[in-house]
Amino acid sequence: MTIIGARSPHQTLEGQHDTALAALAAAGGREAFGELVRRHGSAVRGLLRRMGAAPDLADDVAQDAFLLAFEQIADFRGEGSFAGWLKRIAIRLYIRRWKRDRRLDLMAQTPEPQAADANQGDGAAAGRMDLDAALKHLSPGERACVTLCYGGGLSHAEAAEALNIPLGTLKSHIKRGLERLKDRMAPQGGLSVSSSPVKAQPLGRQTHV
Amino acid sequence: MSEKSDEFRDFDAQLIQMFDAPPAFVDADLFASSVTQRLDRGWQVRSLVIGTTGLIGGVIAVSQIMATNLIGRVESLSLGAQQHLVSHLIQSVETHLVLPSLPFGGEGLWMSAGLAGLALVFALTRAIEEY
Repeated sequence: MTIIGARSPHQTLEGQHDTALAALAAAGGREAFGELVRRHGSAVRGLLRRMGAAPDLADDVAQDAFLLAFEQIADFRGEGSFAGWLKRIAIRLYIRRWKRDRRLDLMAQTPEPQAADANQGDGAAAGRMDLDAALKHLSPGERACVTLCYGGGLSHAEAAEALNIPLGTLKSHIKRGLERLKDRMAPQGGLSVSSSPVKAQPLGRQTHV
Repeated sequence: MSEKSDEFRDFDAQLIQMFDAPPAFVDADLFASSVTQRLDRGWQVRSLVIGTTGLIGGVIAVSQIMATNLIGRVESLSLGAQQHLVSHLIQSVETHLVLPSLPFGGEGLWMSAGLAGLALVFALTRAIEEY
């Protein structure tokens, strides 16, 4: 007998807000957490790759971030977005791994060598494609700093603290990174973003210094 | 100057939007399932560890109980306590009650004492089962 209007558990979860799913997951609901993984998996993986992580490493760290998020899900109180909370966990894990393996010298000024990334996004949106392609022309430090502040939602002060670099160094990386991005993404514009470093912060992400 | 600022803000806003739009991964479902599999595996391992620890603890506890003959001791203790209590009760009843004034004879008293003893044994048995 078919019950009219009956929904499968997965369909029910799809309609739930992140905060509600997080509450369900905190009560031990692994299916609810699975829905959160489906929703935010690509965002976390994308963020880590944009920070400069190799695809395998990005996926590995993203998985660890989700597992850690499940362990700590009771700490998420819905004050900010779930995606933001999750991204911060992933960023913290990636930077820890980064420091441990010393894969990246933040003071390096030369862009990373270009590598074909077969597993990168499908590039359906031209803007996204431009961003991912343009980010590869930034130095590792510029790339990490820009992505942390614009993609991870960290303030300049938070990003400097996370990367353990002086605030001035971070601002320099961001300024140069934005100039390069702008050149790559809007070559006809010719705007200089160096005129106002303070305004170079993402909207609503002012530093606390 | 303000034109430059406006253009800059536009670029800033566009950049934030671009970062907010996650890239689409062809293996997104595979990634999600691998995370949930790892979660399930962790859960199973945890359950297995807790179950095994409980089983080992239980076996050790039972073996210790058997080795020290705890049940026999408790039984003898409870029997001793029961007999002591019953005799004390009877003694106090005989001392403090004036039997002739009761509406029943000595048989009734002994029956009551027997019932009280049974109740005591029942209570002791329950207490041993509980703790």
